[in-house]
Amino acid sequence: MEKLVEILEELQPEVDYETCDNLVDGRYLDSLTILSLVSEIEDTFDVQIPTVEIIPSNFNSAKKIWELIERLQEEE
Amino acid sequence: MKNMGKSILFLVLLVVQIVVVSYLLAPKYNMDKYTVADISIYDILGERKDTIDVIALGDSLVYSSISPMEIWKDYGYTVFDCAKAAQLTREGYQYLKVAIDTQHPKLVILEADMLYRDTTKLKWDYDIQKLGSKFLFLKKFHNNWKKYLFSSLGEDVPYTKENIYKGFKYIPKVEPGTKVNYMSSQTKRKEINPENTEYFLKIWQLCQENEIPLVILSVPNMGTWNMGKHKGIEKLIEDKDIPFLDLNIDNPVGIDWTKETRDKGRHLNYEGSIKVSQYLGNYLKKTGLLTDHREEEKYKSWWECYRLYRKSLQEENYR
Amino acid sequence: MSYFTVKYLFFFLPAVILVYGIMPKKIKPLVLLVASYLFFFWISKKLIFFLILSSLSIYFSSLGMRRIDRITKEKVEGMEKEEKKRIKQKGKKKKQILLLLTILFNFSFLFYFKYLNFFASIGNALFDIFHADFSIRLVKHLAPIGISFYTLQAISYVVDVYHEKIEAESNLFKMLLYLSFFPTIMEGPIASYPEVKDSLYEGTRLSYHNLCFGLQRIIFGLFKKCIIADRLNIFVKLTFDHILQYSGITLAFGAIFYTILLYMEFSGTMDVVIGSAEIFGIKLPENFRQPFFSKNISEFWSRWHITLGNWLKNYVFYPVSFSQPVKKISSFFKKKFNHRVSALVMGAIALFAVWSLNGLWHGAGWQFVFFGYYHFTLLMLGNIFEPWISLGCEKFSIHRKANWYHALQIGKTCLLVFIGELFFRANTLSDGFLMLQRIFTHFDLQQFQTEFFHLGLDGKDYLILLIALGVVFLISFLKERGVSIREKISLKTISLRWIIYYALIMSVILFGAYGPGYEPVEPIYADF
Repeated sequence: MEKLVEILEELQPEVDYETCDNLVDGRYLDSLTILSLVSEIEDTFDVQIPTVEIIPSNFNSAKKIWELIERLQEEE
Repeated sequence: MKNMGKSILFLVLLVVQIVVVSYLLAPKYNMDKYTVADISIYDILGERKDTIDVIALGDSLVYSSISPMEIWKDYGYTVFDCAKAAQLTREGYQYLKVAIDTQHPKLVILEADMLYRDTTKLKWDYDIQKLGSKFLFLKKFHNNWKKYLFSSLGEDVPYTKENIYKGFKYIPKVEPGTKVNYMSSQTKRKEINPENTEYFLKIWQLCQENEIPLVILSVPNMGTWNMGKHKGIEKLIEDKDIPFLDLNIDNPVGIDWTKETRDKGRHLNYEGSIKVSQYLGNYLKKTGLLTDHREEEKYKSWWECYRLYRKSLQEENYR
Repeated sequence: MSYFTVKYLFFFLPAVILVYGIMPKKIKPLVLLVASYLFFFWISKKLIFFLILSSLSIYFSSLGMRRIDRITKEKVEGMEKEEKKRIKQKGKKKKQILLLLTILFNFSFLFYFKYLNFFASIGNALFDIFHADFSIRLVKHLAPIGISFYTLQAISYVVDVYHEKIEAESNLFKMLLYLSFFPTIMEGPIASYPEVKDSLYEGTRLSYHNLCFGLQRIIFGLFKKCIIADRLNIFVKLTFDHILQYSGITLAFGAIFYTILLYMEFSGTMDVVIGSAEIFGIKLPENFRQPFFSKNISEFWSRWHITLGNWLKNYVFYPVSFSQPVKKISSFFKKKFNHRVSALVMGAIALFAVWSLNGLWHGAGWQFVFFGYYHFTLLMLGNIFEPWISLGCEKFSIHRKANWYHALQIGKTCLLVFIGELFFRANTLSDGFLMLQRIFTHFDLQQFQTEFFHLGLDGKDYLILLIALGVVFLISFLKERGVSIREKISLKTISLRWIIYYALIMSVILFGAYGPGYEPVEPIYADF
């Protein structure tokens, strides 16, 4: 989780990832940032994020993203 | 139930407002005699009293073929097209009655196509349209707010008080007509139905009572006109003193059917209408009934209309 | 028939509401379907055949996919892991083929009706260059109404079923209504299936609340369209059609007026569309979110024609970004440079695909292609320079959250949008360049002063425009601040509320630009 927040802060430093729960809907992460984010997550956590999972509800908060990573790791 | 009552009250109040505003914006001219609805239907009521020389009565053929402004420019006669799409003879009679209430024309021209209209069936959407223009007259006058609001701004345009086209409709479309020899003399006479005959006689009587000469005119129409109808008209006026001017015989106007019709010969387009208007102007001159008003102070507004007419044609052309 | 006709507003819609109201709950969705098909048939006559074909194709292919899934599941039960994987792969392959066929099938109609002539003319130009002695005959087809919209909906549906994001719908009637729903058929919004499926088939009873809210929304749409868009139409038409006649300032006004006209026409139509659906208790996705408050082009596109943007994002942008070849390219850049560069390259490729399609979707013409790439370039430049801008701001200690900085950003974005829409409206691409050039080279103040009041609008028209734009701006501004103006109004006393409604209705009737002297805008997006 800490690692994830680190990545997020590097990409978009203006957000408090502890509390923010509308990262996508509030347009803190635009689609290009999400591309970087996904490719960093895939490298760091060694998972594959399929296109279907790239929906706002999975990326709206750091917690949600973390849940997605954990779920994908289990499925591997 | 409470909501229902509220809705009805809302609508009633809305209708009241619309009616009030309609009366405020409708041209005041002639209002004491006619209703707003009348004024919205009969364009000629927008003209000043006793200024119209010639009334051209008929259906779409009239407003497609006769452009009063072209005649004004060259001859100085004031013609008005009292025409509506698919006008029936009984409506034409009504229109003439309204028209001669405020005007004393020196000549009435009746377009012959109207006398062959089928009076037995009516299209429903046409009915709705008529109903619409009767009650939704704001459609026509709503722009008159310009006369009342912010009157210090911009130039004053005579919106819809006077129809700058004088009943004419500008349609520049071209669709060539291809019929050969549509006035073949072999065609059998076509009778005019009783209702049309009745109202024709009423129109004639009205003209006689007011001592206005009547002329029957058939404008170039390759689509529906033929020798049979020509013969029918001849029969109709057999024993009456009514001249019959059929522009379909030998094409005296010189219509080029490849360029000057908008729908394969049924109606003329703008180009064609210029020729007919020219011809008609000349015809009117020869009758010796009319005087040229171009220099008269009383008719200055016609020049203003002419200017707007030209401008409007130009703008239409851009589109 | 557009949504702004007496026929729709005073005959069709009320008739549907009436029939819908008296039918039992179960029949209500069927009433909507019949009304939708009547509506479509009214406009496109026998071309309705293509709508039915599209509906059937996605219906059967989605059921086919579900069947494949079920069979695969049955097969793999109790199997070894390796074997399981192999069979699953096989099932996936089958589904893929089915998906591909369905997409091709649906796109082929779109291509036939919209793009055949465009590509044929490119072909002919090529033949000309190589002096080949033949050419493809160009035939003008009348396309089924809304084909650009319902085809996208159809594709979103099968793709979602393919990814098992949604269940395949086994009720054919629901599928038919999803593609044909009459308020959305002409100009969208492009709704995804999950967005509408709950309310569309619910058969919600007519309620006073829905009726009022729906009608209010429709009237506001009329306000935008009839008072503003229609009034600007003649001015815009004259300037764009006779570029050489007018001074640069007039042309600049023409371009700005066109952007305003486009927004008022399209968002006004959306108000009528969403309002119509609201009457039946159906919630449609919004297509606009105050786009002219955007700080950059990227944000603009998330606020303007939102449903098209979402469609392109979900079904073009991400799939392209994460496709195998693009991934390979990006990992190459990752090794050579860093994450930022690789994501930028990945994004560039995907955005290129998105904007090629976006341009073409709006029409088969070079000006639309240019429009697409214009925005692609702006987006890429924005992303490339972002780090430098941020660095620069830090250096000169400019606070990027300051109000004046925001205002500057909004102004810049609007300016860029105006230029884009200039090309969008231009009759040809070269006309667009000519117009842009003359805005800067043909600065003639005197000519401007004489012609400004003779382009279909007089001083009073401009005054009405200013007031109406002020009203729309105020409402947008409040919305941007998070104030819901409709909720606010509904809390006021009845007399005040009614005065507001009457003012709106009467201003449409009085100040609407209809009748002699005006020419209403044709529905713009219905042609795309």
